[in-house]
Amino acid sequence: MKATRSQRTAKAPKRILIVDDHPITRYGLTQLISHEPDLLVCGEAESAAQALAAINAARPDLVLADITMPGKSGLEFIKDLQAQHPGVAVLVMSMHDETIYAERVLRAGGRGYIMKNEGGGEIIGGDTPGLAGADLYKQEHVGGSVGSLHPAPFQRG
Amino acid sequence: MPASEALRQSEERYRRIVETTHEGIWMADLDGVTTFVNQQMSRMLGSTPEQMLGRPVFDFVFEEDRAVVRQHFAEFLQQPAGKQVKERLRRGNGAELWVLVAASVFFDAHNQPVSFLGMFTAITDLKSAEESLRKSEARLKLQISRMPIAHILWNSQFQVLSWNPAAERMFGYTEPEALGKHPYDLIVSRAVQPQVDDIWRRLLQGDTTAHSVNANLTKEGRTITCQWSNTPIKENDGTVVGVLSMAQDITERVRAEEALRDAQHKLEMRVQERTAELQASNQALAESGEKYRRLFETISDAAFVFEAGSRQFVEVNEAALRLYGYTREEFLELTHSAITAEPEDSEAAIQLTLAGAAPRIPLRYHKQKDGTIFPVEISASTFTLKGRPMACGIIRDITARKQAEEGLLRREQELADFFTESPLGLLWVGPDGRILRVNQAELVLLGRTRDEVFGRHVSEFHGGVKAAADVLNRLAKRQTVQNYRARLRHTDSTPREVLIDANGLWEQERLVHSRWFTRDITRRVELERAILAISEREQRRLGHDLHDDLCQQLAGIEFLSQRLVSDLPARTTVRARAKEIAQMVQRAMTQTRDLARGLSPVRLEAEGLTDALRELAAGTRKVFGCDCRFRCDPPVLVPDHSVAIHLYRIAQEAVSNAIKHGQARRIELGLTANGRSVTLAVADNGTGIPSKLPKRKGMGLRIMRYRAEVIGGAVIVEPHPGGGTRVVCTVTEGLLPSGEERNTK
Repeated sequence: MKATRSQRTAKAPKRILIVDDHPITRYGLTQLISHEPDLLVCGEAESAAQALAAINAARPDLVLADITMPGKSGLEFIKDLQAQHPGVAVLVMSMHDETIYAERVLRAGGRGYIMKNEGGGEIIGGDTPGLAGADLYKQEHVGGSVGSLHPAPFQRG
Repeated sequence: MPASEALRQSEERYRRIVETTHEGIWMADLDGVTTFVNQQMSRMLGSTPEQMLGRPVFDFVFEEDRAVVRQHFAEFLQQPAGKQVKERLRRGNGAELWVLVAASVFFDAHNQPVSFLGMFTAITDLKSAEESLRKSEARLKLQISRMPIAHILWNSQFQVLSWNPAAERMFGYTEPEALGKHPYDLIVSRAVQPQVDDIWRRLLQGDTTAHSVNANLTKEGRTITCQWSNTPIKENDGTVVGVLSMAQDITERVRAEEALRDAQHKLEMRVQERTAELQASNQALAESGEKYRRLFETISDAAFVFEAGSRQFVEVNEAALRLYGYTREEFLELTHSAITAEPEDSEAAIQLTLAGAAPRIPLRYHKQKDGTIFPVEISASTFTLKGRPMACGIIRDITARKQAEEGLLRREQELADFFTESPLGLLWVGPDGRILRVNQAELVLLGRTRDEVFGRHVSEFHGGVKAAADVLNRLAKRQTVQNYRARLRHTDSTPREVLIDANGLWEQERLVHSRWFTRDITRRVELERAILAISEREQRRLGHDLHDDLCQQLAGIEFLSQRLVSDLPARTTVRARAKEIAQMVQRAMTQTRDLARGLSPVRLEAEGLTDALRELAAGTRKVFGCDCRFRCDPPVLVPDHSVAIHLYRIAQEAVSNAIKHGQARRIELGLTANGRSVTLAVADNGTGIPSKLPKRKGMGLRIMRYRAEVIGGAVIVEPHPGGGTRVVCTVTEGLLPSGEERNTK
């Protein structure tokens, strides 16, 4: 795991914007992500509106958003973000079972769907290869898709 | 001249008269008035004795001859006997008749002439007359003797001197028997003697008008009535020496007169009888009147009579006095208006009565003296009394009857009210299912008018056709239906939830009609639904709180734990412990999430139900490892969260039953929409419905049914064609908005 991480340090860290209405979750996520040398939390937002407003300043490579947010739903947020900032990728995390939202998230333009209850290891890759490069979000399968902040070249069933 | 001599002379004269009266005999008094004429004489003059009697002799003498005739009369007086003259007479037809007259003069006792007697012979046939004289002498005698007039000559002692055959026939005594007898010894009864005495006294005084009609006795003792013409016979000095009486038996005439009188008497009697009868009748009438009076007084109904014009009472009975509370004196001072409490109606009725209608007035309110008003029934009539129209009223106090009637009416009204105003919907349904009677509450339940319901089939108003048919079917089997859950169609398209109790009215093995008692439990159902909804909402809120708050915090803690693990040196006890903490937090998070999902399985979105069912299928696959699939194509949106949650719970129960009791290896969940209804179907390949359900499962089924009812649906649990069980729940009607409405939300 260490070796992998050291290989990535040469590159500029990936900028990540966290969107979640729960401060504890944001804090935990920030701590978890900041520990990774190739990942950088460039900003936090507690609503879709705040997120859209913060994008220009934060210049994130990736938006990590909870599907359930006050105001706009996560799916709406993905569509708006796609329209306004086509280059910014969105990864959705949710406490809901993937069977409900994963497919819809991917259709809306999300790069992946992460179930929060699977734990932080799933987000940063855990024992799996970490998040790096542009092509680490293509995790699809029938009925839903999962992804992590690190490239995940395998499919989950 | 002594009396005996005078009598002798008189008798001589009489005899002479008799002897000479061959032809016409005519007697006249000194005034010339005819006092006797015989048939021969009257025949010669073309007349009858009756016509001539009482007429002057000169009526039969030509005007120019009268002086001569007077001269002759005077000469007769001068030369009383044997004088014969030739006279010209005038016949009734005006013709002349020449006669020879042998005249005689009768003298009274004083030798005063009292009458003339003439014997007439027609000269025209003198010779034959003379010739026949002799022959006719006997005939004349015979004729005189046959004359119905009795000639009786009395002496001054009132003794019979002469008694002709007519007298013999009339009185029954022969002349020899009668001669010398006083009439009192012969023909005059004692009773008549005073009258005869008076006549005789007058005759002796020379009265020539002393005639008489009196009763006489015959020899046989018969009483006859005779008319007597009496002529006193006087000597020349005027002394009455005898009396010539002529008597006519007028008994028959008297009898006739008596018969007439008798008839008149009888008539009179008859009149009297008739009068008596009339009086009796009047009496009877009076008695009858009395009878009616008594009836009038004794009938229990009040009765009065009032004068039609003034309306013033003229009669009143005791019952009326009691009824109205007046004394008789007071009452008879009143007019009809004093006793009626409805003057206008009474007046109209009286006028109708007086016009001859004689009505019976079933209800009128009258007034007592103290002002008490009470109901009466009246029979009225009119009649005329002493020329004045009267009205009679028979009054019956119907207070008691009225009260009874009102009581009955009130009970009827109460029952009708009970039916009409019952908060329960009430129906009478005929054996053919048609509605015979319906109350207000039922109409309110249906949102219809009586006309819209009456005569229609009861099933027309039921949400499910089966329910009405089912109830009718049970009733036809003489069953009683209790707490039958049904849904009625209301015109506002919101069905009314009801419980029906029904029973039949049977007469002689025939269902007359059935009574349906409908309880509206819509509110109760709504309340139950609301309570359920509250419960569901609380669960959902709890679920959401767990899911959206606690789980998020746990997630944050888990992230931090993961960071801690990363920060700690590898393969150290501390790191292992931190990792343990992270795993426990993750498990807590998962458990909390599952708990939240159990509390709130269906999210508040139109797609919530399909998502939840899909999750149910996925969870079942995962947990029980059986082939559970959810099919929903095209997508079905159920925006009513209450309906969605109940359908989900029904599906959950059905799946649970299939696995736990049916050992199903394959379960298919389906959700389809058809118009305004949504159908959930859960089919399994399990062992099917056991013939005897365990209590728990029976409870599950009942809960499923209950949930279906709450959302206006029905659950059918049936064997699945491929084995196993099929649970179908259909929710219909206004519970679900139309598809378009859903899409615009």
